[in-house]
Amino acid sequence: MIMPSKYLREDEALIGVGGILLQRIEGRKNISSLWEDVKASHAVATFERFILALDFLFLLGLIDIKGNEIKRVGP
Amino acid sequence: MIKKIYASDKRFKAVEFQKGLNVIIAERVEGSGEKDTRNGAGKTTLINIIHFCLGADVKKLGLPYAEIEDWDFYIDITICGKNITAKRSIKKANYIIVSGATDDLPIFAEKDADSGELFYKNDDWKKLLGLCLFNLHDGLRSKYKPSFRSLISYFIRRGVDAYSHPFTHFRNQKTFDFQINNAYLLGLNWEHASEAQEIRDKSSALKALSSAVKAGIVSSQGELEAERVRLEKTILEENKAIETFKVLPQYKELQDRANLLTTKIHHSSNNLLVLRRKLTRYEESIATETPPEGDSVEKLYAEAGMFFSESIKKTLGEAKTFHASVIENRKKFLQTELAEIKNKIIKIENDINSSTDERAKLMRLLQTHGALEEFSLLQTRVVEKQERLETVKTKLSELKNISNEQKEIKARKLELDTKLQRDYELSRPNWEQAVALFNEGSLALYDEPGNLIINTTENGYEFDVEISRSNSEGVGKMKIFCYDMMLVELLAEKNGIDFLIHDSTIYDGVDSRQRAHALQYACSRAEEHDFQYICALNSDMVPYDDFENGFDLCQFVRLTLGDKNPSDSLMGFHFELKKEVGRSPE
Repeated sequence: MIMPSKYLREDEALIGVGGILLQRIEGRKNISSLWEDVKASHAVATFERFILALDFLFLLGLIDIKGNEIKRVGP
Repeated sequence: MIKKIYASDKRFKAVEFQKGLNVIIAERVEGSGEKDTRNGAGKTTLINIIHFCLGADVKKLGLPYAEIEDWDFYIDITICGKNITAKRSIKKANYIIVSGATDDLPIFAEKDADSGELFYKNDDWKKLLGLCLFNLHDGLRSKYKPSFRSLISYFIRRGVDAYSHPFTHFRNQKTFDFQINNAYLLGLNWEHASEAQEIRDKSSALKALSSAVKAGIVSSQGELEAERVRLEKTILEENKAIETFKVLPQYKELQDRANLLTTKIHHSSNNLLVLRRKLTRYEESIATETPPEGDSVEKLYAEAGMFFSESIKKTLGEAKTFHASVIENRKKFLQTELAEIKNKIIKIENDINSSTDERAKLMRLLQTHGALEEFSLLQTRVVEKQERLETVKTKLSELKNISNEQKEIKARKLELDTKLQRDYELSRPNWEQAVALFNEGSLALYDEPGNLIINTTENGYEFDVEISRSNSEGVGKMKIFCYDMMLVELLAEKNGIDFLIHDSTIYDGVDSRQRAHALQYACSRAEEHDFQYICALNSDMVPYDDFENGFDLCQFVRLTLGDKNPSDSLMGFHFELKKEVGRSPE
């Protein structure tokens, strides 16, 4: 699910989606506006994948949530 | 009676007249050229001078003014039983200086302050003569009435035209003029002739008016009625409009406000549309955004553990919390947005509704009310139309009057006809005497009774004379002779005019036997009825052979004139008689 496989293209794998999202999270960003930004993208495709990609980035400690806002963490 | 005519200049041939027949002879001298007409002798001039002495307009007599400007003419005449002498100068023709038995004349003469002479102004002189010769009183009220100058012209006919018809003394004499004057002379009621003329005047004025209507210069009754109806209808409508008109002083402001509201409503409607779209989109989002299943976080965690075991910084519990808050936040966001949009929509809808209501109210007000300018414009228009309506009504009543007047004229004509017939009967003794006298005259001349015909018509009197065999020029002239003789006899009997003067024209073309009869008849009647008959004759006209035995014309000749030498003529010099054109009455 995270990594590309025989059946999953790289950009469709969560790791790709996470990459796309990470690019858009500059400073603090509202979840809704982030969703509005990326939902048209083919790779993101569904809200489910969007949420999972955010979860993945959180697991890696790259983003954090405060109230309604997502922000980048770390270096 | 005219006794003497003379002048201040010695060259003038003075002439004295007597009772009865008086003859002026113009000698035709053998050898006088064809061009020398016997007019040069002065017969006609003598008649003109008598007219001058009797108040004629000096300019209309064709006298040689340049040569005689210093002359005074005198007439010795008996009027109202008084013998007087009247002097009239060519220069001061408006003053007639009188002397003699002037004291008892019905009109007093004025006295000149310087010379002490008694004089009449010409108008007064004519009044005096009218009174004495024709019993013609001044101050008759009728518009058309007998005048002295017209009456005297039947007794001293002047010019060729005067000898063409018994009842006229100049060519183109107006109907009323000869009707009135002849009626007066014949003792008929001349006022009817005057009234007849007034009716004719009115009738011709009406004809002129109605032909103006026909020619379209004046609108016809139908056109005017149509216009009246149209105007009345519009005035009624516009008056109603004025009555219900509500003036709105702030009309302009309200109009602006209505326009503003319209713009606002448009704007709000656009906003509403945008919001509704947004609402739909969010509602769609709620429907399509399905969050991942609860266990999918665990699957993700397990998979991440496989690939990034060293990099994982969070526990599964932390990851679950994060997952839940993300979903929660998104849900909250959408719900707030939806609520907000719905609120906005309601507010805008309310706004639109209230604006629409306000605008509708304004529009109603604007429709039922008007601006003040509009109101006064409406009023002005109504006033203008009302004025026009009044004009049309006046014209209509004038036109209606025309037909009334026409009826009145008809009625007056009928009435006049009745009056004429009644008076005709009443004055029967007068005209019967005239008819009888005329009859006698024609019998003496032609052995045939002639008729004087007096008819009454709705146009007044109609006169005619008839003598059998009246187809020749001579008989025409003798009709005039008989008519004039009859008139002078009638009036002399009533102590009126007692002289009749004929120019030689009356004998032109008359058979010599009739000339002789006429002269003898005039002679005997004049003596019998106490009047003067004065006539001028050319020497070759005297019918010596046809006179009855014992009648000697020579004893009646008062003056003989010649045309060969200037000194033989009336004035003592020759001059050219001016041809008079279009003589008019005085």
